[in-house]
Amino acid sequence: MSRYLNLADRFGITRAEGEPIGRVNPDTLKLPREDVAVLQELGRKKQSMRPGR
Amino acid sequence: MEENRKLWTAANDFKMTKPPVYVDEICWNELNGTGELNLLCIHPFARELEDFLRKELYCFEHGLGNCVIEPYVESPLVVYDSGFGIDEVVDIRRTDRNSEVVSRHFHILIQNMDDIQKIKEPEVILDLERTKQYTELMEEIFAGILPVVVVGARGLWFTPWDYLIRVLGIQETMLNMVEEPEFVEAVVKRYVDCAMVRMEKYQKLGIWSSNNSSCRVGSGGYGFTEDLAPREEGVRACDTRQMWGCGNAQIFSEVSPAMHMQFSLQYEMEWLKQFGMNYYGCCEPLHFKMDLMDQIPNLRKVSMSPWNNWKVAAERCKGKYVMSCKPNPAMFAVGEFHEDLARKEIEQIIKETEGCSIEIVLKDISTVDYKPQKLWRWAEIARETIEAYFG
Repeated sequence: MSRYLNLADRFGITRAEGEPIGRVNPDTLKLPREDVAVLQELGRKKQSMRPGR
Repeated sequence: MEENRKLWTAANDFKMTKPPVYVDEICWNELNGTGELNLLCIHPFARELEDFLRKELYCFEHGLGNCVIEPYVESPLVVYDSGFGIDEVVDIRRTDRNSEVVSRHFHILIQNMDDIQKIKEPEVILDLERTKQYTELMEEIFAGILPVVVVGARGLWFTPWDYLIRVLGIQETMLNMVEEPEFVEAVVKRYVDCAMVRMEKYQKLGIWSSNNSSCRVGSGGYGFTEDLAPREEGVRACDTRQMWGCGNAQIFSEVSPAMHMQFSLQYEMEWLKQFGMNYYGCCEPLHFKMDLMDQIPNLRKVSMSPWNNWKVAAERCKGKYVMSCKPNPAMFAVGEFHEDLARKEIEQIIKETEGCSIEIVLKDISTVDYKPQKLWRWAEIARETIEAYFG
């Protein structure tokens, strides 16, 4: 047997019961500067592998 | 990268120059000896993105197959999907507490005709407002580095029996196919009816996205093809006629072709006929069910797990279906890694499928005995062997 069956988890988000839809409080999406730096570094690495290389 | 894209497209379109290799379903918990998968971010949203990127880069850097790294990052549509209203209740036994691979004993939740109504039509909500919020955040993070592309569902793992055995029981299902055939058919019909409702809702909400891309199709490799509309035309709201679909009944390994048709495939067809191309199969042997395969609409690729007789299947697949050949991942489980056996197995696949378009898919890697070098070495051996045969 392989793979998992919770289809929603495979690309989107499973909503917890009663969880409101729509915009989340922007404060909950404030990322620490260090996190952004880590993601940017990984993004640059991915970018360096662009087609043709 | 472009070379890999061409390799996949050619194999999927019956113009294979050499077999592309794909590695997936990896025991990530065993691969981090060097710490390269350690997450440094703190915020949960950032950690999720970081995890995805680190794994993607890991595959490329360790040469795990013919990876295609796209020059963008994906922002998935935020979709709430309730599922089918009934979930497995299960007893679990573990051999490794860090592993997601566990043994399960399912509780029987659907016992009679009345219980069938416990399977519900999925409720599907597309949250565009939150999608926009997440996408804008990602655009801010990757500004000047990589574009962000919003994508929806690039196919779904449609396989009624992977789900149903969890609520019906495996042994019980096998017996009921003989003793209560009407009951078994009624259950699978209800499931497929609900899945079709899901499909329509996805269509109506514009959730489907093209999987003519570096996206895995079925239990095989990438979906690149020139025989469907280009991905760019269906990044959102893609018609299923321009997509790959998939199906299987892998728990039916030992079920006869006639019963496979009666209890699964005739119902799966409802789903499969909506797609422009299809992938069928997973772990089950299908070499003795090729007459069934011939009845699947728009079938392009067939799974060829280690339990198949590849030679027998090749006779039927030549020029008709791409063979998705799967070496046995048991070679990594314990003890010494026997390179000679790994090479021999790849050679066997190549020889026995001569004249066919194939891909080599290493999957279900539940363990490498905490020795990731085994996996890296397998990938090298696969490359060397393919080079030796195809140049």
